[in-house]
Amino acid sequence: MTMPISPSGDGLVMRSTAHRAGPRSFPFLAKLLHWMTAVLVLVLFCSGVLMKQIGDGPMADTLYALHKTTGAGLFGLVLFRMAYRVLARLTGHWREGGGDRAVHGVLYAALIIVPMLGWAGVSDFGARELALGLTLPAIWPEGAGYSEQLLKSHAWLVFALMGLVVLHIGIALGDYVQRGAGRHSRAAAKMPQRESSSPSFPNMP
Amino acid sequence: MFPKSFKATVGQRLAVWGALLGLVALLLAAADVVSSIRLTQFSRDLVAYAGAGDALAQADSAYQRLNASLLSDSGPPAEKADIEVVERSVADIAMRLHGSVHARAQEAVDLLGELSRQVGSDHIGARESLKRLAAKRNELRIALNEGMTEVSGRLALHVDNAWQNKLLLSLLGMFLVILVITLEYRWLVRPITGMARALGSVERDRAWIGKLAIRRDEIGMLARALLAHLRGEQAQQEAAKQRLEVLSHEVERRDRLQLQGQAFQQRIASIATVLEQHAARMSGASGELARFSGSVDERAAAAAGSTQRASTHVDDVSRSLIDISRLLTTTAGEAQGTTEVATAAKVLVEEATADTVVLCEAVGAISEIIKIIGTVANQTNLLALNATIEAARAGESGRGFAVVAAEVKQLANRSAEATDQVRSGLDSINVAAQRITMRVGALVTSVNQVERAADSIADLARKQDASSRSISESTSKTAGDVRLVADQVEQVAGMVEDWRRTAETVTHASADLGRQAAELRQAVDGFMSETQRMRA
Repeated sequence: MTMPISPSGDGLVMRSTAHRAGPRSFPFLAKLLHWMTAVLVLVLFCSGVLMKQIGDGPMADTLYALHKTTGAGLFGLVLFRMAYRVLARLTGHWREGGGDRAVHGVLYAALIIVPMLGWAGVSDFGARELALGLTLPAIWPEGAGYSEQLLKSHAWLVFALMGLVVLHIGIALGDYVQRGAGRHSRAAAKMPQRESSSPSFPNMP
Repeated sequence: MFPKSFKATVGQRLAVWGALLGLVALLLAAADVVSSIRLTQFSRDLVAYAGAGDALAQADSAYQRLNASLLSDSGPPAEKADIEVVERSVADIAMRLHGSVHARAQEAVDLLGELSRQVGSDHIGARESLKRLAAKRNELRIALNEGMTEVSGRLALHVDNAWQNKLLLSLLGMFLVILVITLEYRWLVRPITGMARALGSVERDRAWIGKLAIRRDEIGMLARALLAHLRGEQAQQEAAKQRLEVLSHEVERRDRLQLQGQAFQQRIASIATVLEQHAARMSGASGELARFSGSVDERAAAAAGSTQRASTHVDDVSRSLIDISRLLTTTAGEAQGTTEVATAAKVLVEEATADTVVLCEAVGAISEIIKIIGTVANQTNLLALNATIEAARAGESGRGFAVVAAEVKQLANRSAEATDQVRSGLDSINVAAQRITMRVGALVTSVNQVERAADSIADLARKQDASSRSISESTSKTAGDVRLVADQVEQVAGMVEDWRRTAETVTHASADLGRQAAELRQAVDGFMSETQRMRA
């Protein structure tokens, strides 16, 4: 869910940007997209849990509308992020190995699959209406009778996604904790001159 | 991705974890609240439906009676009260519920109103109404059943959804908790234990601590502090190593010293024991000393008197010796004078000897001369005889001559006489001279003897003088010495007095010393037992 920048590898364009902006700086757009994604995921998660819990009634209907609209927004945002990332030829900033790259990949996949499952579910169920009078295009034949399975898998996958989010937070924190200050990546940290053993720790903030 | 102020410190991490867990907990709580609200609604609905069923059932007997009176002609007449009971029950249902049930109940109420108007007047109409009411009641019953089924279905769905939410949220929360515990164990517990271990084995974990030190959280701070501390420690260790070497020498030295100290203590202890004994002995000895010093004092006083007297006697002797010396000097002078006299006498005797020789020679010469004179006198006598003969012959002319010749002859006789006298005189002189020579020779011998005696006297006197002088000197020295001895004896007496006092002091001191030695021994014994106890 992050939009990291690697000074190593092939992220040449953004690396120069990162260098200009400082050692731990990311492009503003990347940061914005990352944190927007995070907020939207949280809102979707909370609204999803609550609307499921409430079940029916006007409050539930409002939450459903909000959930579907936000979900559509997140889906678009994720598509945009992936396009941006591919265009900017960004690769994972976080340390390689340790499942981080895998976690990133799975996160992106879940961020595509989960909204699509929900979308298919509401298409089947026949409730494609969003807020503000918008309507989702149907991607699943209405009344096909798989809405319950689709929506259930949507819900379970969301929890898996939340588990991945938690894992992602843990890995990011761990990387941030253990890399110390002024390090772009683990690869940079492996460079001997950066492996500062001097008492002054010039890289320390 | 993180804001600049975010250092992923333990506090910040805890805040993040707290926020995540709080969100899950909040969702669980919200789900619970929603669920309880929903369940209240469901129970209320169910209660309403159940109440409606009850109301219908309660009105059943009234409805049956109504049915019997209206549908059979032989039955009792329909009663208004029964209609009211049924109407109340249906109105109750209409009031309790909404939707299709409410509508049907309302219709039933309307029908019942119509029925109550028709009862008694329009029997046929009433029967019609009753039939419709029956149909309506059936519909109402069906609607009630449907409603109940719907509520039950929704309840089941809700329970299902709530269970799913609760399960998934709990799983998420558990996963989060496990992750937090795992990660914080890795980031917090392990570094702390590692650093704590590293404090024990520095060199092996130094690189690892260096890696930790670049972290930005509290562990990083701790690791930096630890690293700085370790660097200091290393320097200190090197210094300490050197100090340790010095110290080990010192310890060896101390050990040696301790051994020596123990030996010293034991020796001190033994010395203290010996000292005690000595102090006791000394105490006794100083008592004796005090006793002796009294008698020594008396004897010293007696010795002082004796030396005083000796000094006086020596002084007398000295004075006598000086007199003797003076006399000897006089004797020597006399002997010298005697020697001189003897020498002079010797000279005189030698001169006398010489004179005697000269006299003898002169006597010899005189004797020769006398011989010549005798000869002359003889010849003169002869000549006078010749001259008388000749004068006799010469007769009267020769008479003067004969007188002169007679005179000459007389003279010659007298000369002969005189020479004889002289000769006898000379002979006695000669004898006397020879006697004198003999006596002078004896005198010379005597004078020589006198001289020798005088010389030896003088020599003896000198020697005597010298020895008497030396005696005098030594006597005066002796006198001085004796006085000195007297003084010293007096001093000795004073010293003995001092000594006596000192002996008293020594007695006290030795008693004190005994006590001190006992204390010393006790102290040493205590110290040794203490040391042994501490060593044990």
